[in-house]
Amino acid sequence: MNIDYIKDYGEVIAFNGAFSLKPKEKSLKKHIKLSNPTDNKVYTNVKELIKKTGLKSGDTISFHHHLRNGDKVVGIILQACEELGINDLKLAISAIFPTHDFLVEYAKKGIITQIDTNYCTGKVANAISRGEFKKVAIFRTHGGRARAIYAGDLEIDVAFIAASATDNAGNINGTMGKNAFGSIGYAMPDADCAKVSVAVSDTIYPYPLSNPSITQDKIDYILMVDEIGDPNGIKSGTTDITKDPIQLKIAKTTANLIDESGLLKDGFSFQTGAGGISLASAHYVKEIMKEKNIKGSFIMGGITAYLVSLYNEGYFNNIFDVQGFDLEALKSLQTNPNHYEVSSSLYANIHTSSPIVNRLDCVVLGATEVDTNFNTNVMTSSNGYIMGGSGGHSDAAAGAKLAIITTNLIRTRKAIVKEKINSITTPGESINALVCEYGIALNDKTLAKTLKNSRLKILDIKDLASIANDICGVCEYEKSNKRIVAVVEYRDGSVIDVIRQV
Amino acid sequence: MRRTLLFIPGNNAGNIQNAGLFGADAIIFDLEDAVSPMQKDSALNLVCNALTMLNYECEKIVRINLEYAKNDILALSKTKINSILIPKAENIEEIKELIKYTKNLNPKIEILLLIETPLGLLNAKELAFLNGVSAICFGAEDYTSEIGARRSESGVEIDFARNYLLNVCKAAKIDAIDTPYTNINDENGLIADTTYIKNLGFDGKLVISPRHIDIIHNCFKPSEKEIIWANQVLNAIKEAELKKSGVISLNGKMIDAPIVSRAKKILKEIL
Repeated sequence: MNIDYIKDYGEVIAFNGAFSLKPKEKSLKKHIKLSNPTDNKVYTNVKELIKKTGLKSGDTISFHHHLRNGDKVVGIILQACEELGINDLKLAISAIFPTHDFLVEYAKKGIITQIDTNYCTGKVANAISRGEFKKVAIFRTHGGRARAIYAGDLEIDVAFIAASATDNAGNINGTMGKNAFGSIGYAMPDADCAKVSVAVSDTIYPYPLSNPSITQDKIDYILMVDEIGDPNGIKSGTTDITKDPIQLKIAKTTANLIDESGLLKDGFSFQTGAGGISLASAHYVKEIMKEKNIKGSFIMGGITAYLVSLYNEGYFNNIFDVQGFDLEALKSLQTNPNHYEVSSSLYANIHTSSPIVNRLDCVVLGATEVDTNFNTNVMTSSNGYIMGGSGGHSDAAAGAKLAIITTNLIRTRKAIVKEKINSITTPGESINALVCEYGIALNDKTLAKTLKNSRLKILDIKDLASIANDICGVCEYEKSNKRIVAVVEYRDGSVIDVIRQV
Repeated sequence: MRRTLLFIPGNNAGNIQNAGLFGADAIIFDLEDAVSPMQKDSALNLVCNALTMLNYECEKIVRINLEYAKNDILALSKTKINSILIPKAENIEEIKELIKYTKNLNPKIEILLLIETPLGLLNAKELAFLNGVSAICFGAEDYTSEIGARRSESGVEIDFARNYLLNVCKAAKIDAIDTPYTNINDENGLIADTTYIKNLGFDGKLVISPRHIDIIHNCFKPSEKEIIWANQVLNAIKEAELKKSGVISLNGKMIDAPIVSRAKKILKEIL
């Protein structure tokens, strides 16, 4: 990539290796505040509250995505901003879902001009791809967002932190109240560093709130609303193991690979996502652990009922929870003593003493495209439209001893493994293996040596690409020369790729 | 080896593309029941293309339509097909004619017959001995429907047909393939059913779900005791050959040709 400067982003530091960028000496950017014992923090009028924060046009406002597709808080705040005539806002939100489709209208009106996020789907993703936002979007990793906030690269003027429970002093959590959602880990850096932090809640408890996840010294104001979210949209996990025979085959091969790698022994640590191949892989890993009587150390990732069941059945001793996907995850966080709520910085911030991802033995990840150097795209579809983002992908891949990409070789008549891909999210150097329905491709000489005499079907990744090409035909890309609509920032703050307008 | 013969609908391109990935001993591309009359020609086209362009590392069988048998066979004979499965086999002269027609086009193609009617069962004794027939498969759903039986978990209503067909196949020295287990989600039922037919002497089973393949292969895996015994038999034979001894025994029991054949079959099943 040969770009030094991107308008509305700034100077570009090109990606040059997963651990090569040394952080500049920067002190933690905390804002000094004065509080008076008679101050009242609680507001019920959103416009009055916004005026009190001092929010103005051109500022950056932040949100977390723990309410997922049930979030109502972003809409409440932006409507008030519009009514107050505040525009040209940068929206720093940890993830965007279809429930946020209305943001496209705010972009058209010039109220939102820039998006800073880790993951984006729905109409907002399409609008960014088509260049409908005035300024370039910034995509970070979950750990990268925390890093950027603490380093001062992402300065937040007002953080609006949805909390399912609060007291009148601003002790908050996501585990109590009518719209409890679980861990509030993605909001912790925002609460630490924003110039002004506002808790937005629909349930107030007498002081002091038990088990606060973020404490009163970090919350300046509290906005009480009728509902912070829709519980049906908040739950997104599934406990059902897929019945798709191809996905099951990939998952079983993945579990066998983990077993044969030698890492699956007492003290094993594991991260996997929800649904599809990930959940089925966890299931087959469990079967092996059962057979060999192995007790793992911790599981991490988006926590689902299935991962909770692994803890409850004694396969793992601890859960690290930066976000939960369902009510079982919530229940476990409320009751299990070794189920820990962690911040996104503790989870994956590369510029700290030790994020938890560095302690991972194995992570199972997905992909929309993989090239023959194992560079992985989880950001765009093969037609160049944004349809996701790194989330924790690059973070966990870099930290884990064994990072496995699982994917169908061919999906809806299109090759997934190929010579060139549309966009790079996670560098191939962080990926140790790729598992698809045709077998395993390795990107790790030590692992290749370990597996030399195993019964696993190991192929060269170029052979996998050629199988896919034989069936689907070679996919030719016409790289767009249009304007850059999104910057893909690696977890260390360097730029690994850019997305151009479709 | 024909432990698992997996049915793949002949009109589903995605399934056809992935058919070879599940580890079945054979794939049966189905042009018959799985394909509606309106799609027969396009399905035949799709299966012929797949059998020409794609590589499957297992036996490739096509279940043809009895109604359009010659048309199907003619098109398939030019592909990398291994075998043809003729459904509703019952008329001896008709089957003879189709075998002759197939062998004239491509002598390498093997014929499997699907017995799924009472008349077919009655004629199985002659059908099994026809030249070119390498296996008889049992289709219990159509069969029980025709005899008016109700399907049960124990399968008592198909005991006679199973045992009769098994005997016919063993007499003709061809493979005996059992009916598919139709409850896709009942793993325990599948294990019980497969163990039962394996103990009866069946060589394999028709399969309608890829998820059943590993389970059936596990059922067909010989036990540790059987493997030890089979190795002992083959070692005893080797020793006898070295000693040029005419009489071979193991633990005081005579070893004759069927015992050797059984031992070899067990060791083959480990692979």
